[in-house]
Amino acid sequence: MPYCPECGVEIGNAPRCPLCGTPNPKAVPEAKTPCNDVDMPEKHPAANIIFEGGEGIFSKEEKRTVLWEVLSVAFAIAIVVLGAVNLFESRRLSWSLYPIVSILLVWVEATAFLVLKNMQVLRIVLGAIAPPAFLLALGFASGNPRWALGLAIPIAVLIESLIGALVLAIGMSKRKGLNLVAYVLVAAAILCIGLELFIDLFVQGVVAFDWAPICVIALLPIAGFFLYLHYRVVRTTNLRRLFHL
Amino acid sequence: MHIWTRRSREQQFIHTLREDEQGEWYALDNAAIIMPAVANEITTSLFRFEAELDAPIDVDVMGRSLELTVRRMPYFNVRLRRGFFWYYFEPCHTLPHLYPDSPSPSQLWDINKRGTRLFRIRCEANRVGGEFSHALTDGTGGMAFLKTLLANYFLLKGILPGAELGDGEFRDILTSQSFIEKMQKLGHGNSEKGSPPETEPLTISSDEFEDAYQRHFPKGLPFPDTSPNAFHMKFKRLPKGQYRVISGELNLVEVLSEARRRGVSLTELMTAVYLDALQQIWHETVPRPKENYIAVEVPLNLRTMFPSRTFRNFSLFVLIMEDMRLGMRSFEELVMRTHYQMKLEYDRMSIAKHLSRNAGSARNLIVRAVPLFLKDIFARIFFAKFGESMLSGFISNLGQVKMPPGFAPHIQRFGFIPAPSLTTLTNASMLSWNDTLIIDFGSLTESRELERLFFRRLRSLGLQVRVSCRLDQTEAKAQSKEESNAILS
Repeated sequence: MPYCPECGVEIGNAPRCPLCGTPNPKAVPEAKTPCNDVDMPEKHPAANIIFEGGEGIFSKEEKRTVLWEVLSVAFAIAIVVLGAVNLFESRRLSWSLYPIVSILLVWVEATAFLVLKNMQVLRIVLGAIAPPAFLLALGFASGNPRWALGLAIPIAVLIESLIGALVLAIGMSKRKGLNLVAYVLVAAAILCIGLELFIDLFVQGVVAFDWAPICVIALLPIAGFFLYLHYRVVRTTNLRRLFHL
Repeated sequence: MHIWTRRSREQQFIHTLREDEQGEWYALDNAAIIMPAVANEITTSLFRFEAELDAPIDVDVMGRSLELTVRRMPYFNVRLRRGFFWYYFEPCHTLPHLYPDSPSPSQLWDINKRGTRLFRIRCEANRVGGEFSHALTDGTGGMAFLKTLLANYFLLKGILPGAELGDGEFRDILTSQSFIEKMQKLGHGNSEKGSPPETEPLTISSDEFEDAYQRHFPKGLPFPDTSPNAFHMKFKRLPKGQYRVISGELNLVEVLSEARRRGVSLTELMTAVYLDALQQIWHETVPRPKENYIAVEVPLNLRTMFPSRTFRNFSLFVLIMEDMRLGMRSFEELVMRTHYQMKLEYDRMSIAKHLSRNAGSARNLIVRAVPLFLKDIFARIFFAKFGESMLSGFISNLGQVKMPPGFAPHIQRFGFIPAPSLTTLTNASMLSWNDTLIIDFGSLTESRELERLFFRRLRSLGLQVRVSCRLDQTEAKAQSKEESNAILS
């Protein structure tokens, strides 16, 4: 029986010692079955072009990296072409700034979601910063950043915060049901308040709540009712079980 | 009247089965009540027993065998529900499925997910595995279920046991030929799925699912001393869903003679080997670990000390510790110190102190009146303080597995895989089958250092060791939840 020369334990026909990884000097390679042949590297010649010495098949991570690289090159070409045409035509960057900024937004989001999978915090921060930065850039491109700073960015940040809070609340819910609808309704109520607040401040300079409180008054009791249904009625099959001491 | 009331309250704690207008339900036993709060998809609380037969598993027969087994042991066919003050088990109104096996056992099964059973049976080729949550049962209960499942399988295959089942040394095999015939007359255990299990006319003793901690609760004892925080290995974790099992097989006679030569038990010898591996890792860790102690938990089957027929949890543990500030100890020292520590801790009065603390807290009216969401928080704190923080790893020995002489030749091997832990990362379990001692290490870390040091030490004692790793044998492919939890039957 084959033994690991390092550990001294019997390792059968394993290709490596399960304990230290030393190759098995007496391992007999397993016979290839027709089923195994399907995924062999020679059937996928393209697989080894970029990743030399790889498994012959792209892993999910590798696929994402390749996609990001292709997107980056394509976007870079698009930005150069747009900028060059604009410069050639007008001797300055004007209209091309809008598509260039938009392309940059897509590229940043693609970077966050395709490349930074293992850096969750950076991924979320980058993904969240990109839309307000995009709006700010559009504001400067349009020559008047006031609308971006006073209205667009606060609303974007509010929406992002609410989405983040919703995702967190949904993720933390052990049992998902009507409580999720309630969370969405609460978020909608907060959004209404925020929208009116920012619009009032931007347009009038003072806050005078008008329609948002009506939305809140309508939404919150419904949310409360859904929470009640979820946590007290739907799950309760029998009060004696529920309240057994 | 006073006596009646006191007895009645005692019974309320001991007997887990309750009944109301909507049928039966079960209270959790004393050891189980903490598990739902600390279990998730990774630290599933599932430990596993498996058996390799001499022929590929007939899935249809195994499905029928499973049906017969849950009809005989309906207190296993339950799901977890949240009450306002406590969790409780609600009987499932359907029969359990068989699931395909995976090289990463005991993963991606969240007992807190609505409708999820507290166990699952998995099959592949000639191997059948039963994964049981510690919220439901302990090693004794899990092994009884698997043995009953196997016995039903063999009986359905026409293989006779050659001994009386349900009695003597096979009293944990809860089936018989007459039981199967009776069930089949009622339309159960045939090729087609039967009616819901709760319509069963069987009378099942409530002893089988009693809370034995409460039955043997000793009043008025002081709490055991708390132990210092123990060293935990800091290694990189395996990807989510992977749980590596490295199995070692040794000749039981060789190991027993080595233990006898040293005047210790097999469990003590293996615990010392485990401590030896841990102390080497502790001294190699840079920077020096904050925790000065290494500690190995050795679970104890309390049924050997306090009589009970329960198949719910009824186990506690002994903690074997070493102070690393004193430097490296020789292996011989570790063996003797383990032996004496076990002797000191493994006595009725010392164990009773642990029983008193654990069972007593669940009787406390203030504790009982705390809402469950707060209990969950306290349970996590309690588990962190008095649970895994006190131990660097555990090694559980189920002992010799016995099957009737008619069935034994058809079983090549048994296995016992510990429940995964993100705190200790690697743990070990062992059992003996025929003349082989099987030690299974379950690990959530990429490092194999503990296993390497453990088995190398056994080799240095002159013991023959055969090692294999199931995850290595399988192509490293992503195991999605859908794959893992697909249904076979």
